[in-house]
Amino acid sequence: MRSARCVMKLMGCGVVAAMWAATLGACSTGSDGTCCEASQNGAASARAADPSTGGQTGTTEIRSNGGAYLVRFETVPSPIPTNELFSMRVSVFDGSGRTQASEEISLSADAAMPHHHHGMNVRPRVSRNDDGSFLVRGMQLHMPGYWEIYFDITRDGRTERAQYNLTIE
Amino acid sequence: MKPRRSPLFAGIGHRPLRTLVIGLMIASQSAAQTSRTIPPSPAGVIEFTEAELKRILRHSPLPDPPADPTNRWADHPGAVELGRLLFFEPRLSATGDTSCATCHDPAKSFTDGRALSQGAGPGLRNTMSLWNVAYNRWYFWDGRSDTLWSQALQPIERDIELNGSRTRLARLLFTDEGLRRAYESVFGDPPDVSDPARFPEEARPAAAGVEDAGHRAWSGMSESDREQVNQVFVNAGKAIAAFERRLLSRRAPFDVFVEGLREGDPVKASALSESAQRGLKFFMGEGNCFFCHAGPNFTDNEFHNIRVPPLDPARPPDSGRFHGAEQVLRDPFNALGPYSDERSGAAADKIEFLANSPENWGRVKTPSLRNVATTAPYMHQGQFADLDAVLRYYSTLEGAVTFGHHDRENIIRPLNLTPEQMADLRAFLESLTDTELPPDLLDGAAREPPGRE
Repeated sequence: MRSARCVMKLMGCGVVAAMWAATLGACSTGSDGTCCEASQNGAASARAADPSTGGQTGTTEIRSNGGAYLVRFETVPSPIPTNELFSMRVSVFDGSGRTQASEEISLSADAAMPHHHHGMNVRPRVSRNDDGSFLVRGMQLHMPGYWEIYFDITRDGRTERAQYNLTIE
Repeated sequence: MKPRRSPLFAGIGHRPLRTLVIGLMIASQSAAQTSRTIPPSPAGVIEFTEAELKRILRHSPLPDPPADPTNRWADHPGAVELGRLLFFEPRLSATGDTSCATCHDPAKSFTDGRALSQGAGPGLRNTMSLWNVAYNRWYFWDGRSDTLWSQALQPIERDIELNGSRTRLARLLFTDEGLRRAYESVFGDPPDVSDPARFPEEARPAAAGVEDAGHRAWSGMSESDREQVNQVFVNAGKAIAAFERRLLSRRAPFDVFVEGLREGDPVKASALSESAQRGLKFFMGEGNCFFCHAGPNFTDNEFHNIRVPPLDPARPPDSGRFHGAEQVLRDPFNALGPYSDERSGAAADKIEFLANSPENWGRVKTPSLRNVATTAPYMHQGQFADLDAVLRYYSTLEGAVTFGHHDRENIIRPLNLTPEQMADLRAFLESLTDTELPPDLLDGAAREPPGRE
């Protein structure tokens, strides 16, 4: 069965945000649940880069282009292998610091090589983990070179994109 | 205007990013790290950059073929033997004179030397060689099969190839003593298909809308009889695949050279001439050939559009992967189908996540370069008669085509090769030749099948 393209609903992100804030210490969490103020805005902030592949390892945070969301993801395997399937665990935080306890969020994921005018040869599938994060299965960057990974987050009909750029060998 | 000298691929086209990435790479690689992984080059080896050396080492050795869990007989000796008999068996064809080996001739490096294949009818594409097919992710130029065994089924029935049928095959396996014995040694008794009322001589399903006498015969069979025939058909495909998995090319002069690099052995390193080494350096460096001809089988197993002009512009354009992706998703013999021995895992993931897109239009599969010097002519329609013609195309992109309104991949630029660079690249490509095979794989002579396992 082929599902609609990479879309699942996420509810109750607040729990996720609080949990991550506690366990990862990745962001400053205020009393109102604000999160991730220390993260870079709009740019990839890989914790550790593997220069042999250019792929990121560990957890990466990126801001959506409209600033409304912070996307935190990690890949399996890590770093991203060239021309092999990989998965991503993705969590979305409210960019204003307020987590989305009741709003509906949908996520789609894709990737492309803009200089080559092509995307992936696969269609990833998105599902929701019990903890509210997303699991993106079926990503594959089939060529060496510069790739952009896109996270499109939609709420109430408005979509923002968070983009992670990487070069793989 | 004279084209600017440029790398083959747009690759890391974003200059600030490229600078950053290269800077990171240089900064991270200490001399100590390098000395652990890459010993000093032995005498007679030209100078390679660290990046080139790392890439070279990634291209050899070619490991053992990956398992094919969709085919539980993939490495069964009896299946290899049955597959060999079937591969060379002309009675599978409607005319009784065409076998797999007609186009995949062992004497011609498992191809036919023609631009376009010629079976029961004129072919539309160049015959792909069978060297190292066990490593493929997809089969056919357009990847319309996802396993080697399901690939082997299609030519048996296709009107321009063997033009046979699965009932013809099942009847042959039931009636021919040698084939039957070989079949029994692996799969047990074949079904009794001797009743022509139940099992017509030529019955095969056809695509919707195709007028085919075999399809009418197939439609008249009971579901259980069709299922019996399908099972024999699939078993035959799995046996042919087991045979084809043995067609390995893994120890070319290039591999000996890489061993020499790893071991610091100047004798082994001398397996490549200086010219071939320069070609290798260009391949792994300035030319960016390794972007697609990636890894120890020299293919990324994916599909690209290098804009090669068609052999005959008057013919309808070849849609390539665009149609192939649709076909493999619908193929009842794909890895997710009922005849697959493993419907989960990596093989199933290929189908589950496969996407088609307009940019697939005109793309074809990256062929392996192992034994490439022995498989002329080249490209999916045999457009280029020899390696020099291939290299001239990559040098100039003369005649390169576009595909109208379809989105198109844009990955190549003219290499502007000098005559010396062309000679170097040809010498390197010729160093990928290893056509040694056990002689008992090279013909269809009857031999005692190995004992049942």
